[in-house]
Amino acid sequence: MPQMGESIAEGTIVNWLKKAGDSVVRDEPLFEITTDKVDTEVPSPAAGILVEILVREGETVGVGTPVAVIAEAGDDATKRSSTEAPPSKTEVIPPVEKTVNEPDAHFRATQSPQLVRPRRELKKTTAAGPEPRSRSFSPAVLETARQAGMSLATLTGMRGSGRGGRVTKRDVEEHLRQHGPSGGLTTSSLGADDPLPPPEQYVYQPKPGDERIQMSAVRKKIAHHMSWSTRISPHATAMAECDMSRAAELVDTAGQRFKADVGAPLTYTVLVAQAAVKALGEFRTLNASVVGDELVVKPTVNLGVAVALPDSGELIVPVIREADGLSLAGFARAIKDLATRARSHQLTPQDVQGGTFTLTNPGIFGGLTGTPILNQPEVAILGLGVVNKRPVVVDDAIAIKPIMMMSLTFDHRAADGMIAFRYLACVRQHLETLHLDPSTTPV
Amino acid sequence: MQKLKPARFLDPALDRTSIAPNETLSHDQLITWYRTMRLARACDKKLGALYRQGKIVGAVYLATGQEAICTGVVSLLERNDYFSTVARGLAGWFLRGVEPRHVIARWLGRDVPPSHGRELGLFFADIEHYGIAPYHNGSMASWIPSGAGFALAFKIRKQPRVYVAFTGDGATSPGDFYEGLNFAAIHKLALVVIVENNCFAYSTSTDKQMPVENVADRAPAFNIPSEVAFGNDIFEVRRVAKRAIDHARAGNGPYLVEFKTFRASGHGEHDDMGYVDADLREFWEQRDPLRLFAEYLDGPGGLGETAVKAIDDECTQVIEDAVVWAEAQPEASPDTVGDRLFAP
Amino acid sequence: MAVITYLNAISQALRGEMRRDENVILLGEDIAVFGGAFKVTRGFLEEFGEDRVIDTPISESGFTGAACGAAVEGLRPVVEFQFADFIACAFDQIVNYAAKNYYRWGIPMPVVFRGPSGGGFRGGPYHSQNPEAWFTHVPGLKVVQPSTPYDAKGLLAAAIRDNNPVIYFEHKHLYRRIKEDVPDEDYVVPLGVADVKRAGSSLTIVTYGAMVHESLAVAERLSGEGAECEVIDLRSLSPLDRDTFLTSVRKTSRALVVHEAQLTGGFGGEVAAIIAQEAFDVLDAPVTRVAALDVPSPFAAALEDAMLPTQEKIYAAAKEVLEY
Repeated sequence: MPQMGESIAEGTIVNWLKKAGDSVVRDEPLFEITTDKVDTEVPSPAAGILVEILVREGETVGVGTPVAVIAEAGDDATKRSSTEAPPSKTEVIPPVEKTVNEPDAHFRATQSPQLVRPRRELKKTTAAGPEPRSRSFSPAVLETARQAGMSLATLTGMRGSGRGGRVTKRDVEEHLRQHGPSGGLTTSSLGADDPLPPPEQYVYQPKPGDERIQMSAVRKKIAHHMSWSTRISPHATAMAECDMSRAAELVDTAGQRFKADVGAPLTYTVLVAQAAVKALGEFRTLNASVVGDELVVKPTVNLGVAVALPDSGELIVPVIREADGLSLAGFARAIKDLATRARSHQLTPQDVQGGTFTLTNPGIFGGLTGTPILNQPEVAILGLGVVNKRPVVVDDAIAIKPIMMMSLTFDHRAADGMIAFRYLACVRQHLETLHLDPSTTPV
Repeated sequence: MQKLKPARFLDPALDRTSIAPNETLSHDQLITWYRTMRLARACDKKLGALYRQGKIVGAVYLATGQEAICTGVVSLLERNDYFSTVARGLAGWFLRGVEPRHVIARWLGRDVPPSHGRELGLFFADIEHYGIAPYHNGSMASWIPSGAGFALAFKIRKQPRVYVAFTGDGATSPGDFYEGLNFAAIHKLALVVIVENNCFAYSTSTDKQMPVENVADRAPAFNIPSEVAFGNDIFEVRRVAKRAIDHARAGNGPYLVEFKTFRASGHGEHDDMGYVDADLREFWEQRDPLRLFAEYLDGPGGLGETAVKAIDDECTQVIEDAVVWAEAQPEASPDTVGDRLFAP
Repeated sequence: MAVITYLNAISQALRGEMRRDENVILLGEDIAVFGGAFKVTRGFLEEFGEDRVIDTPISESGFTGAACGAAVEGLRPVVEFQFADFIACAFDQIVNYAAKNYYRWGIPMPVVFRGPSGGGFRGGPYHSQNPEAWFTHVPGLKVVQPSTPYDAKGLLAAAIRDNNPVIYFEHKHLYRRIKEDVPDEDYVVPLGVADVKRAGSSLTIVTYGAMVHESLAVAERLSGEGAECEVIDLRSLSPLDRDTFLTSVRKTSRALVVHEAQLTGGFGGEVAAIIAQEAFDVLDAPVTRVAALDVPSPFAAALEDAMLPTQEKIYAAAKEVLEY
């Protein structure tokens, strides 16, 4: 059925002018059709015998449908010519290369590059490239991972289902379904500078009558540090008691003279600071930072000492540099100096930077113990409880002794409980075996 | 530079330096038309000054020397007839009641209807209040087809109304001139085309614009009547235009009138007319439409010099007041730039 | 309800609107006595008379300008361009008069320009073009392009009832090929509202006109391979319904834009830009376009097929985006 006009999709045979078996001459009227646009005679496209009529009068068929078969004169039955319109475009989709590789050299030479290029691209892009793509992630992948708290390390480690192993959004969703967001959170966790606001149901809506206090700049900074610290590190806290009899005795008997000689008081804090630093010499991985997949151990101990400011209650952590080189007197002087300057707001920025390990003392407020939060990027912080006299069992007898609860919060990425408890035991050992004469205490 | 010679330009048959009506006209009519033309002249003069003072942002286009044509033609129209013209037909706008203060405010880009700062003062359309139909300014031929469309609507609704398209010699070159007149002629539409042949399309003289002596010579292509007349004589304008309007209104189809005139100012005020020969200017100055009209009123018209002078002074004052008002109008707010893109 | 062709649907809408409102008139070449080159207006002259069904001289700018003027005067002319290609001859009247009139003067101009557009049937360079992007660039014009008989009827009715110039591109290749059940009564498909022709979650295909059908065929094939494509038929290019395709892309994270017109400066670029700007955060693959090559529409079958977007090309591009 020929196409009689741009929009014509079908035609109806009105009348066959020949019947099967008739011989036909080329261009001789063969049948009449009617379409939406015209009525016309259709001339025969070939000469021969009209072997078969396929579409009867009154039937409507689509453009391109064979309507009859003509056997060309002298030919056998296999060589037939159908009265068919030129093939429609859905049947002819010429292979792209065919046009480009046309034998006509002139045609090739005059092909503009714009014409050839899209085809080549089309071909290339239909095959999966064997080499992996660079580790770049689409906005959708990054956004999905960020919302789930998945780390960049996890993402980087994934093998995706996209082209060349590219990670797709669906891969991320699948991973989250199977493993949750972990795979190890790192300090390079996604969106470090732009944490999502908490879901609405966790946010209190202030009501009339509430008092609303704007956070101070320091308070905001503390909030920021503490939030990030818990996001960055898996926190764990180890606790142990320590008999402070020797320490108490030392403070009682030698405190006065110590203060007179040194110019700074001999306190439990001073003694514990020395013991804690001494113990770090044996447990160096607690004087360290986690960087990516590495634990970076520091050569010296810069001891941070948390100080509460009496006027605001805010916390500041000045640092005693190279504390592992100090004598007891040195600790005493350094602590006194920092505490004094902290409370009179005279610390310099350098005073609060570069810490490698922190000591905090909730005990001065009567606290039994606490679970401190790591002072990033350190991996351990030692908390001291109040020193209280308590009944304890010594050799199956009840004795009264000054006891202190110590708590060590540590980054579980850097260390396990074994290290933490052994470290606490080491500190205890130092404190329980103090020399009574401070002057003989080893430097 | 090839300069046009007056003799080549104006057929002696059209040439005159005094005018007189061949119809009975009241003093009121004469005063109305003269005042309209004078108001347009005063407005143009002021606009030229405002432009030179930097008050008009963009260009300004004046109608100096062509006041008689639109005044004469519009004076013949019924209230429900339409016409379209750019500011070369300023007096035609005034005769329909458009206020000078609004015209000036539009040139100053102020927030006044109907364009609210969206279109320069060169163009104006307001069907509802003045029967001035909207057109576009691709070329000045562009509203011959749309004019045929207005006339088509009149015909379909069997209304005896007329649409008048004022255009120029240059506008007879674009295809729209032919397509519009062709369509109107086939359907016998009430379209009157008034060609103000003012010697120049911007700087291009008519002999570079057309291979015929007169625009009217093109009319046989559409099998429509046409006439050539002197456009600076308001009485002749009325005489000829009446034939055209009556013909169209009676359902006989379009009519083409070519009025010979002269653009006495530049294409715009940014155009110093260096391409115009001094002789030609002088020739047309002697035939300035306001001068001819004023001389008639002074003399045979019987109005007297004092009365004419009083009209002139009053017009000057109206324009001065209009400028004060216009300058006090606010500019369109930038917030409105996206408004009114589509009709509800 | 009756099953009618896309072409019948256009005729029905015209007839319905002409019966409904005596201000609706038709102008165009060969539309009255002959009933139109595609027979859209066959029988209209007999029913509505020569005042309302007007054979025009071959002067697109002339009769377009006339239609615009008549529209200002309150008629609702529908202009038929015999082929959308010839709309170029009327470009000035459309973009400089019709498009700007309301903005300049606040005077409505309710006129519809029908442009039989599109290729795929060996029409050659002057009977095959898709000129929609010439007009979507012009503020003040509405541009629609239906893909189905239902939409063809409803969009044309809406276009005629709209108080602004609307360009209505009807795809010639769909005229008699696409049929569906269409309500006998009058209805409108609002301008500026896209339609989800197939729902899916893997890939958004934004398209319009004839490519809706090619895209649906590709979506069907991909469904058999496990990927569900959402096919959005824009229907209106101006005003553009961004929300529908943006919502879809936010769901699928992948977008393919398909149109039959040439690639460069085509409307697909606008859609792609909107997606890139408004949905950047959700994208998981580059927004990709499938369109005709940047050449005129050639006549010979092999050339035209090479030039036009085909199902194979859409499929290949869809796979590329899906597997990215």
